[in-house]
Amino acid sequence: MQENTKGVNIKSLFSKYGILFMLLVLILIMTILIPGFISISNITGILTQSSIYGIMALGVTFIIISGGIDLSAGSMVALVATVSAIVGQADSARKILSSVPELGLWAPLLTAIIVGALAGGINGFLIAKLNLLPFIATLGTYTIARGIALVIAQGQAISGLTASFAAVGGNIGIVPIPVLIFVICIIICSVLLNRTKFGCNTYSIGGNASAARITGINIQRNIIMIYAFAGIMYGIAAFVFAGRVQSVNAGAAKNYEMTAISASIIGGTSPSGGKGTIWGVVVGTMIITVIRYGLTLLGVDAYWQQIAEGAIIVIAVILAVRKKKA
Amino acid sequence: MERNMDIKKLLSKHATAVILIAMCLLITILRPKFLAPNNLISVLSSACVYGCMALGATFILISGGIDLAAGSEVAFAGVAGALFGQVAFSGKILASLPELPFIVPVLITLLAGACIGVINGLLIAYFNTPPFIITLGMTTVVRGFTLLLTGGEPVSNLSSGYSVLGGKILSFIPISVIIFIALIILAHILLKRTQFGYDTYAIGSNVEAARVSGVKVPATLVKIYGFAGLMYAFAGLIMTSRAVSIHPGAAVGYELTAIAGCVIGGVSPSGGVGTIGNTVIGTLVISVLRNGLTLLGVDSYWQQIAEGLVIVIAVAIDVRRSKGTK
Amino acid sequence: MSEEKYLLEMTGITKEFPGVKALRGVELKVKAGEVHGLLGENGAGKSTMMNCLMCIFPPTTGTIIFDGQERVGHTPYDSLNFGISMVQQELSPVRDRSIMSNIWMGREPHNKLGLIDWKKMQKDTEEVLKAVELDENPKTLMRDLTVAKMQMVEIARAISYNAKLIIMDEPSSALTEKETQQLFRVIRKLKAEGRSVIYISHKLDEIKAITDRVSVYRDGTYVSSANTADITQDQIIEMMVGRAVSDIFPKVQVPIGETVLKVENLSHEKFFHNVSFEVHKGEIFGLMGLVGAGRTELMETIFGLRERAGGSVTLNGKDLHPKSGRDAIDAGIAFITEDRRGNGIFPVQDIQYNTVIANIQSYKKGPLLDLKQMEKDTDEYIEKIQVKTPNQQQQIKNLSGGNQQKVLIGRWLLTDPDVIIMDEPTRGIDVGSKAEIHKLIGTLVAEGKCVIMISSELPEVMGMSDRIMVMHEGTVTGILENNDQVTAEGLMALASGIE
Repeated sequence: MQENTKGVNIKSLFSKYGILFMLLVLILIMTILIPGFISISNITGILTQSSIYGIMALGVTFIIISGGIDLSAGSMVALVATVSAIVGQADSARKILSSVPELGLWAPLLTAIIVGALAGGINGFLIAKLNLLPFIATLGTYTIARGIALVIAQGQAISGLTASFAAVGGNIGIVPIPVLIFVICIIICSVLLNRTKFGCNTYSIGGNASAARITGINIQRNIIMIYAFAGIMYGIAAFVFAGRVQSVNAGAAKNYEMTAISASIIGGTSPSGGKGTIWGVVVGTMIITVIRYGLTLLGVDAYWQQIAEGAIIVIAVILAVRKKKA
Repeated sequence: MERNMDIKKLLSKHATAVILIAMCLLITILRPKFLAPNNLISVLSSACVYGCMALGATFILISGGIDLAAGSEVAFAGVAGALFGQVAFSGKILASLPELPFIVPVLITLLAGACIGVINGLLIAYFNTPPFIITLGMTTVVRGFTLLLTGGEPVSNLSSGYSVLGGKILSFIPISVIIFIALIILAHILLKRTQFGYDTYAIGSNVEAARVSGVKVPATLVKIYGFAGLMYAFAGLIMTSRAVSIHPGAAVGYELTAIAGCVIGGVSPSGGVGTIGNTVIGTLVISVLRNGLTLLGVDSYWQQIAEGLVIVIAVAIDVRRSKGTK
Repeated sequence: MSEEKYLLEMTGITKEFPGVKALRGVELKVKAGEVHGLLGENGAGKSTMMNCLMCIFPPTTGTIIFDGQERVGHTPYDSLNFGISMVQQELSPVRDRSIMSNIWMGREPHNKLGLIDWKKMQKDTEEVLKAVELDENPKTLMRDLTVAKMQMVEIARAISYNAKLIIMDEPSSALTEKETQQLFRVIRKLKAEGRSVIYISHKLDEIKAITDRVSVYRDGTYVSSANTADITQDQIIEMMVGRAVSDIFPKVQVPIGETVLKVENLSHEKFFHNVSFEVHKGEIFGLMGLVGAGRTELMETIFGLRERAGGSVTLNGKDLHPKSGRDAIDAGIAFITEDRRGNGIFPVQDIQYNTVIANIQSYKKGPLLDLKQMEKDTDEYIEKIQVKTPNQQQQIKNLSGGNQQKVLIGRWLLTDPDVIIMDEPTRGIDVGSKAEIHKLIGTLVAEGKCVIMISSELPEVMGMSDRIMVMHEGTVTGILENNDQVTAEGLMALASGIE
């Protein structure tokens, strides 16, 4: 009897933390295959590589939990990165008024957050108020946002950022700043999703919209807020992105939304809504990065890497559906 | 009075056709050369690739699904066929072999497309997985294989069959346009005059009722995705024969243009509603828009914004309209 | 007596849906601190009335006075603010969230910073769960609970609003005897606190046991109210059925032929056990039972939509074990389902499509379909079944319920079946169409088909059937020849499992 319950416990533990095991096994395999895989430079490398689409995945997770989807994330990152890089150019203020000194780091950061929130809010508006399906609405904004970014940048790469902006891509001690920002975002999202009404409403709307309506949750307003919040996350990702590459091209971040969505789904977010955790998304992001990083170190062809990544998404979804049935 | 009502009804039923005609008129007024036969042919001919894709996507959307892997499938099918269509192909295997007849690469292309489609269908129908995510994963997998097959290099030096197929009849009408028109007719007949078409509508408009009414849902889904794969393969064939070469990175993001064409024309992304006529008109809207804006000298960035706006507006109007009839 | 203070007074409530008058001047008066039973057959208007009260949709006419004030609400949230909460008949939990998240959904307790106070939430939940005697960790996910426990959580949620009036729509349908007693203790506690409960149930023994007064509805009209203590179960049944049934439904006399469908010891894992019966040529076989009796599931199993656990079915002497709807259709069975919207109509498709879809294979002419024949057949059936529509290109969702049902009957007749299963064929349909559909059923059996008719409406079952099978909670409690000795009271007693 006792053994029996123990067995069940292990099983439920595994089903709950299965992806964590998966990550650990992956790391183990990499460690065996690649001598010296666990080194400070590799760890910081993996974390830094994770940070940009990790932050995007955090935002998109709110959307998927609410039962939606966002195809426009990559385009939005390109748009926001372009705008905030323009603001963050060393000579940005002087263009307007020659006597103004260089703007501080707050300027591009604030710009990124505001533009991101606005762009996300428009998605939310189209979905909540005009009743467009999330897929279609964000398909439209996917094209529009990229177009606006191209118009603004006029095909030019935007470089010459202020020193402080460029430092965003650097380190504090051994800790890369992108990783630091990623961690801050993880904490903020954790608190929002688990400790606020906004988070609870996100789960309720995705889990059972009609039940949510009956309990008096204002669904339209919450949907707009969810997409706007995701927009803020994209904004922050764009800010980090600009700081890292230091020369922003309007064609940047193409298909990043796919990586972000994949990370979220691999991390256990249910594509039909109502389910998902922040730690899961973080693990999902790490799984993708460890695969990419490890396969590169192993010298595996980039094409095989791509195939492996796609296969993992397909397998993760099949497993998720199986689990739900059982 | 009653006649007024009829006209109103007619206009609302064919809203996209009206928009298309209005667009054509406007462009003609601004740039009369729009109506030049050469230009009209080029409008049609530029619609061929994503038009063929849209024909396949129409079946999938009507069944209530979605296919994000379409662009990758186009490239895969095109590449798979082209490898067999290289002038030196048979010589690689046995020096004395003659060049393969052109029908071989054509058949390989079509087979490759259909196979990937069937795999999508099997995953969706028998594992009960959401089409959005599965095809998202498949995008990466299929693209990876395509790159792997070619080592990332374009496949060129193709047999003369390709250049013939990419050419024109009577030095005026491109063969690709004729293929496109033939496929339109084929798709229309399949959708409206065969059991397959009826079953497709049944699954998209009420899958439970379909089951009760004797529709074999899983088998039909496999057929739908397989047929769509075949249409993508035709797109790949056209693409390859026009350039007489194909790049493994071709057609990225084309699936979204194809889906946009369907949706603008009035195919409902929630399933059950749509005709091939809708899709053709929607596809033409996109290509007339692109052509017109180019004639007007609008830069390509603004074109992209305009395209996105058209998607959002067309669908928003459609949502209003279907709300009105409820 | 007339000075009596009422907590809730709903008077002159009328509700019209397109094509149907669901409520005609119905009233309901509930005193403070009483448990009020609401009774009536399916379609009598109980749920419609409660939906009006919960502001899920507004009544067409009529007034609602609650707690001394006239109330007009627009969303269920308004009713909650008035002090009315409800346990829905159909559970709608957020399965992937915990018990406490479900109970406090939309009104989670939070501190001054706006952060959710999970500790308080857990403590509050423990209290509410204690009140309904449910021993579960508040953090347990809803999906890990049994249906009965989920139901108790729903009840806990309705109570947690501290409402003055709590509506319970079939709260015990998923509960065992022990849990039902638990529920009754909760209700008595609420009553002692001066709160009122509206208790809707088909189970008459429960109504007798827990309610103070009852109101009875029939066909969207108000019949009467009485003190529970003053009336017997038989009287309640009489009030519910209350009319001479034989004149309404013309029963056709058709010679009964040989056995067509034979079901032996058919069982399902969950829904029914050891069901055996035979249906003959030219027969209308009525199947009666209350909610949860397993009638629909039985028919779905015969039709191959559910897997059977055991037993056998023979059709015309041949073994029948369909794996899908297609197999059953090919064998000669038609299934007109109960849930027209859920698994009957294809709403956005036109009438022609909806008519031919189940028989689509027979229109194949080579690879193509014979559109002309489809049009001809549809016209023929529109004519035969008298579907009221300007043309066959109309989307079926634009038709009235009665006409939709007729199209569905046409769909299945086109497949030329031997056995036609009709699950609640006249539910939610206006009186005129009802009579037409009944007449049609008569013609069908006259043509030599046999009809299995599931119905919760006693007059329909008694008026139409040649024989009646009654089910109670998954077992057959009787198969009766429909003659003078069969009474509504007798059937109700069998269906309630009293006899």
